[in-house]
Amino acid sequence: MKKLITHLVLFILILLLVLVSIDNFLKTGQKNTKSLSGIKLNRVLSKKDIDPGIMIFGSSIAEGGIIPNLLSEKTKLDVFNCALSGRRVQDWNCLANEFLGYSKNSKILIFDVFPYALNWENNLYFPHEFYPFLNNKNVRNALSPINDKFDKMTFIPFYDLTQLNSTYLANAVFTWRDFLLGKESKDSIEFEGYNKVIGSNFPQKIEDILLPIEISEKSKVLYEDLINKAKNKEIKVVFYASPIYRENLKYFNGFDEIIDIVSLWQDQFDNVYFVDYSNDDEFIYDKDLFYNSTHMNFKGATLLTSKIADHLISNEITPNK
Amino acid sequence: MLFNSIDYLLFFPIVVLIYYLIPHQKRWILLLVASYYFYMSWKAEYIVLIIISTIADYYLAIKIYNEIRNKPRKIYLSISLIVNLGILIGFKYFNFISENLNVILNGFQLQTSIPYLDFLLPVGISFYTFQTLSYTIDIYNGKIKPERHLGKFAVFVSFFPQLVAGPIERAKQLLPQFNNVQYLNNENIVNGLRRILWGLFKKVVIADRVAVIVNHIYNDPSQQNGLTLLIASYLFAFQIYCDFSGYSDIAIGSAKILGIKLMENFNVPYFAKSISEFWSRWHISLSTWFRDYLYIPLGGNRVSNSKRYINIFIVFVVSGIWHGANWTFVIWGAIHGGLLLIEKWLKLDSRKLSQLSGINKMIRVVVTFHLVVTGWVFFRVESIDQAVFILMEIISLNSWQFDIALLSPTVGNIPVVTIPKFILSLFFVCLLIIFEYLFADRKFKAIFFNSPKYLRWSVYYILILTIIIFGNHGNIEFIYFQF
Repeated sequence: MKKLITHLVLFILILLLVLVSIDNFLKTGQKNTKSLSGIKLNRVLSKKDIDPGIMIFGSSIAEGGIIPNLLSEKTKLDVFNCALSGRRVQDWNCLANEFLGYSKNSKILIFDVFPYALNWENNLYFPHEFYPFLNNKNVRNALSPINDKFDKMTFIPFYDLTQLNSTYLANAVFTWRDFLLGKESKDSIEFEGYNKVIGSNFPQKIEDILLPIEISEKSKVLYEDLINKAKNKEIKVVFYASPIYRENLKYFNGFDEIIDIVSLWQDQFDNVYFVDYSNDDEFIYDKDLFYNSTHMNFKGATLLTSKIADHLISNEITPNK
Repeated sequence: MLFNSIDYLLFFPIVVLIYYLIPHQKRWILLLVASYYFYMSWKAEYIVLIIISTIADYYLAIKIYNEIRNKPRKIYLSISLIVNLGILIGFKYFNFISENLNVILNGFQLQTSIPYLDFLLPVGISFYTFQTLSYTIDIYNGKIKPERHLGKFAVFVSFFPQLVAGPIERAKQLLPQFNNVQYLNNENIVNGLRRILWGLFKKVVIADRVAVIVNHIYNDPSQQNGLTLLIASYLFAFQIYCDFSGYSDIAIGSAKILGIKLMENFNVPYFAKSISEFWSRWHISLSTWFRDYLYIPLGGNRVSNSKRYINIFIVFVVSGIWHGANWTFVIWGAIHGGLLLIEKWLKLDSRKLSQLSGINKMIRVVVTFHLVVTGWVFFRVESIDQAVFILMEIISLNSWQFDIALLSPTVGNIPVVTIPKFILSLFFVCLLIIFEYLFADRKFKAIFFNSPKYLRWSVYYILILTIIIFGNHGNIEFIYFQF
């Protein structure tokens, strides 16, 4: 019996060692990946060295729609674009909460408003990007309500290993490869988080990629929570509705309701500002400014960023210097 | 509580730990409490059904045993049959019967209709009712003596490793083991853990992975073509095998760790060279149950050939009905019964088949596998029409084309099955076939289990990591839970 117990304990210890090694290999690799979103998550959730005057959160709409150095040039404030492609508030709220927790310099948060901004999915677009940060309280709070497998990840050791995907594995392998080969990291303090896209790529059949527009109470609560936390730190929250290419506006029935909700927040909260470019004539008829119906390309983002900057200055949302 | 859940991962070691710490005279209490807790984690109220079955058969068995006169013995046995089959028919077949009677009544233009009952099918009802029925029938036939200890009898009825999906045990094999003293035994623990590991691999890595593809295709066969339907049918054959045999492995392994031996339920059935052989390798506990409690009482092999063939057909149709309240299961059973009769008629008995070797053997195995897959189509679908449609599409080669998009469901525009995942699933199925082929050979088995510890442990670690990393952990229920 002593031999049996010894062997069992030894077997389990070796297994734990193997699992810990694999888990750390993957998490460290993913954490230090060179992807845009990976760098942003690492900077905010781990290094916490991003503390600009203007911080942008949201989805690919904002990630490709606002050019930080241009906004910074006009507003005279540091700007970082922390928006994450493919994300909604259910995902990125952990970043915003983390940032609000440590920020000392922040004056303005910018959130994008688009047709699916208040949708709630029971899954994450790239869940593996959060795996290295499961120890973070804000990440756990964000993931738990989404799906019970993410809930389990927050308290069951190694459960994230059961939810691997090829991208997670590839990210980890490539990061470690680059580390061992001594390749320079893309991440630097000058990295601003902007995702530059050139040209247009409108889909042949837009109907194939449309999602139903939802207004989830859970999403609304997350936004309101962020607004209140920002208010407590005297930080202004600016919502902007990104331009939508006019010809395809008809496919986004229900977007008006989202506009109404954000407008209501502007009335309810004195630190909330809202500017609606979704119907702005300067954008919506010019296909050259769009990457697709809802996303700006670099040309469009240049114009949009300038207009946002002008709006912030003219409405005295930026602090007087 | 699924075997492949975190809950069981916590539940089982605790049960084992307490089991070996408490005196053996008290172990039945632990097993009973654990078994009831295990069952009640599904739906607490349905424990009442198990308790009714337990109490009824406990007292009826004693009455049957003590009674000398034939007529009262028959009455007690009948009561046992009525109670057990009544519960089974009431919960499982009532709506099927009422639906079909309503069709008949409507055919006669009668206005009355039999209502439907809105009951959730109790998990494992077909298994534990058959297990307790075998007990009272064996008592009646004088094969065993009744268990006088109500608690231990209750453990026999509800023993958690095999409660919800078998193996369907015989009282003669299982009951005495609850009286034996079980010591912590190296061989039991190691063999039990190995068995659980292999069962988890089959269930989580193979069955649940291919289930995603199979469910997508079979949920809407009209969107598929013959080739994708054929692929899905092959995959379903492995899904149901890995799902069910994986469960049995975990059940047998769990019981083994507790020092309890359960019967083998599968013996590499897809290597069978005939339908007859297939049924000696597939769900062995059920096929032997039907042999002993239906086929033999109907006359078995002691009657004329024509009567024997009828009996065989009846047994397989009833077996089909046992699996589910749908005509598709009846057809599935009838197909197997029919194929068995054809084999008997062609005199393809096991002596001739065991002499086959090489390519002849391979051909027989492949043919038998395809006959079984044909039956599985009926087993899987919701209606006979759907099964016929699928088979016709498979046969019409003109419509064959392979397009990964047909196999690939999406969730929020993200594909759930991609080409790498599909290939990986096929890889694991091939791995299963190779492993089962190798381990069917006793020599190979002996070589492996006598090999150096580092080699064996490496294999176990690879299996565990494969289960963790490549398994589908979406908590997909075991297929046979619906029976």
